[in-house]
Amino acid sequence: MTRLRAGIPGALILAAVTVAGASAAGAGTITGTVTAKPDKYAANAVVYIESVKDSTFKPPAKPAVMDQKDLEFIPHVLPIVAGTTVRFENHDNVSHNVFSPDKCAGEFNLGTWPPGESKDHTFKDAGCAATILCIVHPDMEAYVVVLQNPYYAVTGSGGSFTIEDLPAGKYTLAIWSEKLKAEPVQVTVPESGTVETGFNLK
Amino acid sequence: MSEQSHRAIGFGRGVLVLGAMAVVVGLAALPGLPHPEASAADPDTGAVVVTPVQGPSWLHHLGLQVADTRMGEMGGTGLAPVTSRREPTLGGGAEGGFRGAMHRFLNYFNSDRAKANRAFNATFELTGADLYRLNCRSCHGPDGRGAPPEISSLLDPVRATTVAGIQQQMAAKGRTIPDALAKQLAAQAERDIRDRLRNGGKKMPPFRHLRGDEIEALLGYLGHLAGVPGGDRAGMLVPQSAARVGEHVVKGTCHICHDATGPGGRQAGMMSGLIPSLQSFPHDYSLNAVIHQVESGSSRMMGMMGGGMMGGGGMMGSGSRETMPALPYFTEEEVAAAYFYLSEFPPEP
Repeated sequence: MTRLRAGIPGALILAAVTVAGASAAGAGTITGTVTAKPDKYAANAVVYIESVKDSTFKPPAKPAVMDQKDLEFIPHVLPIVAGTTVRFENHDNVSHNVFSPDKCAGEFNLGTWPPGESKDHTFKDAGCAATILCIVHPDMEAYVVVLQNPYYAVTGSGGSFTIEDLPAGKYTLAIWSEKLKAEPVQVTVPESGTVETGFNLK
Repeated sequence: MSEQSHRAIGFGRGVLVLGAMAVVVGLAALPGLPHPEASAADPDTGAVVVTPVQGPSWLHHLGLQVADTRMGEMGGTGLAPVTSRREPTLGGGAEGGFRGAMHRFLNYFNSDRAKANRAFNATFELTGADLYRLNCRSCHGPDGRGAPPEISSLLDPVRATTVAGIQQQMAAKGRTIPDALAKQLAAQAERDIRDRLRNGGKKMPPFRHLRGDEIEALLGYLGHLAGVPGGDRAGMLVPQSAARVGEHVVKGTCHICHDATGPGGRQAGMMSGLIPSLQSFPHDYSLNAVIHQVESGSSRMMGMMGGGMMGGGGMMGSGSRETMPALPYFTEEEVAAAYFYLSEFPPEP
């Protein structure tokens, strides 16, 4: 099981998150690049605002989708807001199973189902990176990263990310990667315009 | 159904007519699945129940041409292994087991049909390894790895049927799994594999001719292939007859490519690409010819000559598989059992 940001002391988190949540002032953008060793881990990392204080975010009405095709989960990494239902589809030629051994996701098992059908699971608790597995195809692996708020981005192949429409204020920007780690950074989002930052995953 | 008509194009009028016949026969049988319902041991006599093969080939059912698939040709070149089957077995059973039964059957075939019949239906025992070889090996290979992505490996799905296998898989990923979840997953994987054998999958045919005890023995051997504990079913022996062995070979292997009924070897010999029906074998080929064909596969020569004589020749050098793969892992007695199963239990449309 994977708890997000296990290494960061609680006091630091509290001190860092002093968000201007109340004032509906302007909104800015965070952009940047992630580097990693090995290089391939720069992609498919989730960059996210750790917590927007005093705010709750409703999950989307429509389920998020994780598909299964050619013996792979697509996407490989799926960030969602807590409470979101994920629809696990099967557009492969074979039956698939979906389960997660992670306690933070409820150690669930959705059974096995044939191509063309789907099953849903709702991820309740933020702060969980749930490993998604298929018991009949052990090479298949994916992650559902459950977050407190919708201000997140998955890095592209070059490691770049952009988080838009973020209310102005100070935030802790964190990163999750399936294999590597990096310390969170503090960012101040302007009323309008862009702030640049970056991570070096090790 | 486009298979024969497609292949016949360019081979001249006579061939086209035969091709059309094949299409008609295939169409008539298409709605049914190629495997009939399960046969079971007779509750009164305890004799092994055997039923005829029915309907179109599995490739025909899928609309696949033989060149487009690895099905049926994954059995490998290894010879039939020394089996651990017990010979002779069961009280009142066949003296000399399967081999003895087949030899007595052949001895009496022309002189005493009652004795021949008794020999063909006398019971002895086979192992799960034998059942795997007769039913599964031509697609999943000698080691169970199949030919992904078309033919799935059965090793991981079988490993998933035991808590130990699941724990091994998770340990390989550097993680652990709660016992309750592992148990639940193992039970589900066991249900899934039984469901797969009974109902087939998108590409795998259903194996409804397998009895409950045969499935247990087979699962025991699959566990052995996958390196997980087989429990009670490891090394299990199940009652069989020579007729039943023939049924396994035909339904589990031959019927992948050969329709039960339809045009036979006499026509097919002249036509590159037409696969003779199972029904035609005892009429159109000698037993020795069939044994030779199964052991060595058919050479491309006949097909190429056929095409050339018809003025086609377009198939030459296409590199596609048009001929029968060699299946040297069947013993001569097993091929003979299949041959006489086809004459004693005539295939049905």
